Amino acid sequence: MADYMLMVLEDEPAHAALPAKAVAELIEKRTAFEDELRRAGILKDSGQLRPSKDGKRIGRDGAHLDVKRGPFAEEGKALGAYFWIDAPTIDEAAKLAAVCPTLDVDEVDVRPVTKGELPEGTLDKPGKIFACAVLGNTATEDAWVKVMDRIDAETSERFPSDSFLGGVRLEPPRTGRRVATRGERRASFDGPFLESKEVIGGIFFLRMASIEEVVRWASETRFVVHGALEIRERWRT
Amino acid sequence: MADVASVIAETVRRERGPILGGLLRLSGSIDAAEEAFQEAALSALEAWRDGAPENPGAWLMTAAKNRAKDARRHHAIARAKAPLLAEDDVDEGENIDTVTDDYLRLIFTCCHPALAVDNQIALTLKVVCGFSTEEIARTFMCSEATVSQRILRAKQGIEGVKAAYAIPERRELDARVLAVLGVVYAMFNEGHIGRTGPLMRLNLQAEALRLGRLLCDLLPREPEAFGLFALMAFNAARASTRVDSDGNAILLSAQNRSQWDKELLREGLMARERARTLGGRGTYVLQAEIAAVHATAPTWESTDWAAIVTFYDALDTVAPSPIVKMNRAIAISMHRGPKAGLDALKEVARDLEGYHLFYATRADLLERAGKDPERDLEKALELATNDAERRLLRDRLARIGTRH
Repeated sequence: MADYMLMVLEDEPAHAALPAKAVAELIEKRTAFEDELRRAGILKDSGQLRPSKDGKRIGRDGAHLDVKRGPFAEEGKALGAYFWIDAPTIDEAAKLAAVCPTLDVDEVDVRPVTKGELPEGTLDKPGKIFACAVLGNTATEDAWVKVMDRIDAETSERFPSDSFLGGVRLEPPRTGRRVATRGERRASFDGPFLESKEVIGGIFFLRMASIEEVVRWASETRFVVHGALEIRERWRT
Repeated sequence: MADVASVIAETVRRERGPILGGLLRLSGSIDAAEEAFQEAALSALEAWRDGAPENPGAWLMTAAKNRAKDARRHHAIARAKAPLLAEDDVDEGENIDTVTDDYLRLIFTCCHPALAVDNQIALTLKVVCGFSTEEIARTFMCSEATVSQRILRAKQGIEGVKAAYAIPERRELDARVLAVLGVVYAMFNEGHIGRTGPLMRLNLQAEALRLGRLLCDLLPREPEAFGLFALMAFNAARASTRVDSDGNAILLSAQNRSQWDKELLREGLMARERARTLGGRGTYVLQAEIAAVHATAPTWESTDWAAIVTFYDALDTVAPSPIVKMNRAIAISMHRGPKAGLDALKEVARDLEGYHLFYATRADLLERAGKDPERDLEKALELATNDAERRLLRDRLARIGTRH
């Protein structure tokens, strides 16, 4: 068995346009999906994120620190939910991704997990929970892996120990799959999916009082030297 | 480097609550805590001139604590009054639980059950939300003197309570949490339906929503906090469709549902999901469930009235009240017809004989049952005080008059 991340890439305008009834149904379906994975004993963690317009992205523009507010439209779809699961093969993980509740316009990335540290009990403690997606922006896979190595080495020490809740590091995109709706059926494509240059190399979780606080702590790190950090608040569900 | 003034403004706004909460422990009075905080903020203007420190919040906290300690020492010497009552050591760490505890302490103090509700709200707006007396006066449409009086009375009220600044023990925590939620809901309703004047005051409503969100962050295992937030979010989502351009009230059945705020609805639905996960069935959760049925119904007619009746049944068990029974009767009338609704309404006729909405409701059911609603409408008009509601009742009376 190995760990995989199912990352739901949402078409946010389509989600924002949904009638309330459809929103309620999607939320309920996701809860049911989570329960099913949990009952099967293969769910390690899962979460849904507030819309990207409430999120921030830290990057570097020359010598300047560049903090953008969402939405990050040039990236197309935004990370809306994730399910961290345990599956025998990537094919099995992709099968689960194909039944994961989404809209027809959404896609699901399936990525093998290199290593992970479970964020435990996060939702039950005070504070806000932020999912921080490390985005690597390099020309080659080798360079991308090196950037992720460096970030990995620094991440956990950078933040106060009470705030750092763990997270996952992901294998290069080439090893992943993308599940999308094409016409009537869900189809699965091999990676890489580098149409956007910024590829998620990992997600870690922080518990802090505000997004400004996260931005301040993260500003000095290497995330922003060789890529960007997207900070998104997690819903409590 | 970011503009220092804006870093200070942002830090002051964000850290105000947690820092004041911490200072309360040290200073032993809200006034002294506010004074120390203000002095620290002023000193930041000078000290950060060449750039803000790495952690501005921690800097401000330390500076404020030092000011508070100095003031206390000064005070003690001046009055030769020892030993000191306040705690000496405040945790210097950045432990987030301490910070949130301090924030909770502040909110619990301002919403102390020994205070009258109006005074609780005024004090919360002043101390927790950081509004000026003038802003609060404008919101409540009363004089600044009245607001100052309320705040003064609230502060004196707190001074008179032993251990007012302590976070309550586990066994009394639930009751205190409910008191806090009650103040926030009262604040929301004050913004939602004023007793006089315009139907809505949106600032107060936004502030109540903000506090509701904060309470969810501070009390993540309390289903009623999420229930209250969901309830407020569902009601606020409809705010812009509750009055027409002339300020007249529009009933739920006639509101333009496509204009409801989808973002707030989503936020409400997520909060309800959390409340369900936590297994809550308290009054706020149940009211949120009812509001959610309305919020997700495509039309008034296609509303799931059976579900609403069930939730009202549960609500009447948890917290029986004539108002709940009246609303249950309306749901019954939609589910099983106006006659069944009128029967259910009889139960509360005596309890609600002074309440204008009882007569407005009965008039509606009578009209739908093909009976004459005029006497009930007149009675409702006689009792109503809100301008928008009175206009609506007059219109309904005029409509009946032309038909006769």
